Amino acid sequence: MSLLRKALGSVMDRVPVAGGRMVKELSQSIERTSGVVEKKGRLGFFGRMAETFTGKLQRAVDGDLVRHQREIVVQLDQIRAQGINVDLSIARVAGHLRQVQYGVDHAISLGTRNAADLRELGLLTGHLAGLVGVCQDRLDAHDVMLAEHAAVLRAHAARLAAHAAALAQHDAILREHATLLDAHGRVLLDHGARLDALEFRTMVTDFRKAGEDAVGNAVRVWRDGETYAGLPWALQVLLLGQEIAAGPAGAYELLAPMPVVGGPRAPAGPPGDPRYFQKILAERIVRSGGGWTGPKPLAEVLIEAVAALAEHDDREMVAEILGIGLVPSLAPVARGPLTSSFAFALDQVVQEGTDELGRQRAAEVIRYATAVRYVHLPSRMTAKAFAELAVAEQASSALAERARLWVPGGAPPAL
Amino acid sequence: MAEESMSADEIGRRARELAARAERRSTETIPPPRPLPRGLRNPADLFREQGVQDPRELPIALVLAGGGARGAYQAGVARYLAEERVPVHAISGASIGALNGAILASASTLASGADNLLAAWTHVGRQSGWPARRAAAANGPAGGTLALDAQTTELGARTVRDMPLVGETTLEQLVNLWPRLRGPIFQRGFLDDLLARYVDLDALAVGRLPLFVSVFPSVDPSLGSLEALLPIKRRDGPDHGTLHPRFGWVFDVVRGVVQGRAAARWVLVSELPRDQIPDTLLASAAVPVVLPPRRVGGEVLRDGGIGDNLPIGALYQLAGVRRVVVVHLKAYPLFNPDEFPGLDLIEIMPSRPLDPAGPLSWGSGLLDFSPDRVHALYELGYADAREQLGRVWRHEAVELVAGFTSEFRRDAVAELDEPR
Repeated sequence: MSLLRKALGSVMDRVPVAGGRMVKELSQSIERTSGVVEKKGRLGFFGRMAETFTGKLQRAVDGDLVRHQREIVVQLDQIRAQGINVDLSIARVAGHLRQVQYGVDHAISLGTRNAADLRELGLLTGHLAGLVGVCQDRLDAHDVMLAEHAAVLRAHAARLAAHAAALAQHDAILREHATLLDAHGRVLLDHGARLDALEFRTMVTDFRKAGEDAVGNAVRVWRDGETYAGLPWALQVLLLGQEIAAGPAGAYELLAPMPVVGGPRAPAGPPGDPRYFQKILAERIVRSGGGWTGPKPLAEVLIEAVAALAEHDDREMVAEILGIGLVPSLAPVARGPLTSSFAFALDQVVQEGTDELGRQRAAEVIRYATAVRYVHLPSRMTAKAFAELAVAEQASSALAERARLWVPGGAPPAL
Repeated sequence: MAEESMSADEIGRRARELAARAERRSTETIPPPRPLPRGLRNPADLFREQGVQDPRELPIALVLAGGGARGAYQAGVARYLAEERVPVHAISGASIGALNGAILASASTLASGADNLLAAWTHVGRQSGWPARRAAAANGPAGGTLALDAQTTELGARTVRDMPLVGETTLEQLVNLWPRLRGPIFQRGFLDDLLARYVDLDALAVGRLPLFVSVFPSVDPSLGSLEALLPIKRRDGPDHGTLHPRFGWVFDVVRGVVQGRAAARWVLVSELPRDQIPDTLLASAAVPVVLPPRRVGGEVLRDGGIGDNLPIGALYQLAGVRRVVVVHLKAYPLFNPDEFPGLDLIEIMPSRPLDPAGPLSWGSGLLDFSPDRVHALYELGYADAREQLGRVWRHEAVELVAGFTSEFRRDAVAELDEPR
């Protein structure tokens, strides 16, 4: 097969560029031969004789015949080769055309589908345009509505402005009223303080009046022998003093020296005397008599008082009244030394089960009572001094107890 | 027609589908794969796939013409055919062509047959020896013209194509004529010996390769001879016996000229009895005057070339052989291929005159077996076969290619009208 492939390759590669020239030369040669043939036909007698002998023209014609045939064969070869080339070229062009057909088919397919999609796109655009139109209408309606709302809002704004002006005006009025109210408030506060003071003074006055009644009644009942009968004078004084201090008189003495809560003291109101009822009670006890004359040793007073109480129950009862036997939570306020001396003495006697308190023991009791409080207690006392001290101790104890239970500014402790 | 209103969601969904389709389509820039158009296929591959047979591989029958010493030319042709491995399926020969054909047909292969043929001709050349007279040669005893090739080199008004293969003047031919007639080739038994050396007669009898030879049934060789009139003792031998000339060959030649091919006969060698094969072959080569006729099966036979020097018609007897390579031994054979319809004739003819010029050229060409001429004939036969067969094969190949390309073009163009 190599020959065929070689022939195919050579034919495919051959380019008959000289074909035109060869044809032209062949044509010219044929014309020349034609001329020779015509010349031979026109020969004269002698020419024909010479030609018969030489045969020159005939040989030229025969030679040209063969040469022309050979050149025609060469031309045929070239034409055949060119035909092969043309066939191959046409086939190749047809192949490319076929590929172009494929491409065109593909393009047409794409174009068809694109056209369908464009139609779809157009429809969607139409729908979208319709939707946009609807939206536009709605937006226009909303614009109209918004314009109306804007007008309403403008009206409201005008109203609000008017209201704001009115409010500003009212605010000024309110500020003015507030100023007035503030002034009135201060006046009211002042009046309230004054009322509080007045009420306090009324209460103090009420306590004073009740205290005077209580002192008067208690002293009168005591002088009539209806209370504390059978007790020694000293114990009567202590118990009476305790009774008075626990009543309204004690409350008065608590409140009398205090300023009015929440306001200035009333200018007309005198400061209350914190010992007012103590003085009255001591003075009335002294005036009622019954005590001793001149100074008397306190120990002796103790001994006599203990001795004056024959019953142990009485002694124990009086001792407990004077503060013995109470747990510290129930007896937070210490009693005075004089009261404590009597309470200890009675309790001592009750504890020891004796009927008398000896001088020694009395002195020890007194020292103990004073040592506990680190206070001084005179060893000898007059009845007046005894009464004043006893009343003062009872009032002090009650006052301390009330002060412990009463918070300043709150309601006063119950009477 | 009013379109139905469409919701915004529906518009969005369809728009997204549209966008997805457009995106997919944007990747379809390359057309889908299609079969390669027939016009863009490699024509060389398609041509190979068609299984077109190489013209050289087509079986041929070989027809070898007769021509005496010119037969060395056919040895060169055989060499070229063997080199190209051309399948030779039958051989038909006349005269020297019959002997050449016998050597080729009896060999196991064409290559060995070509070797045997060359050896035979070399043997003949050596036995013949150099001619007595020949012009001085520039590069060999055969003369300077042997070294020239057949190209159209201008030599004045003539070309190499017009120059004879061996240059001998008429005088030289005349001087060499007698020694050539008395040469060893025409001596008694030489050809028989040559046949025995280079032809396997048994193989011929088997008929591996059909071999036709043309023979010419002769009249009585002594017809019209002086033997009938003079008391001359008759001897077998060449017709040119000086003391007993016979003239039967004259009648045969006249018959051959008048009757032509009808007077000759074709013989299929393999159908002959074994013992008749040598005489039949030698009878086919029995050139009048120089070689005596042969009596085969009671029949006197002469050179087949007298009546049919190209026994092409014999090949009609073989079915399947239509391609015939005819090897002429004349530069300008008077041969009409139209006389053999149905056969594909390929002619190989000498590109140069094989005979020297002059009135004795025919005889000199027939009888000159000198080694230099044999060699020159062999080389010329090889070169002519290569050039002429090559040209024919090339034309046939071009014809095949042209037919293929025409079909290829027609198919490619027709594809344009096919549905896609």
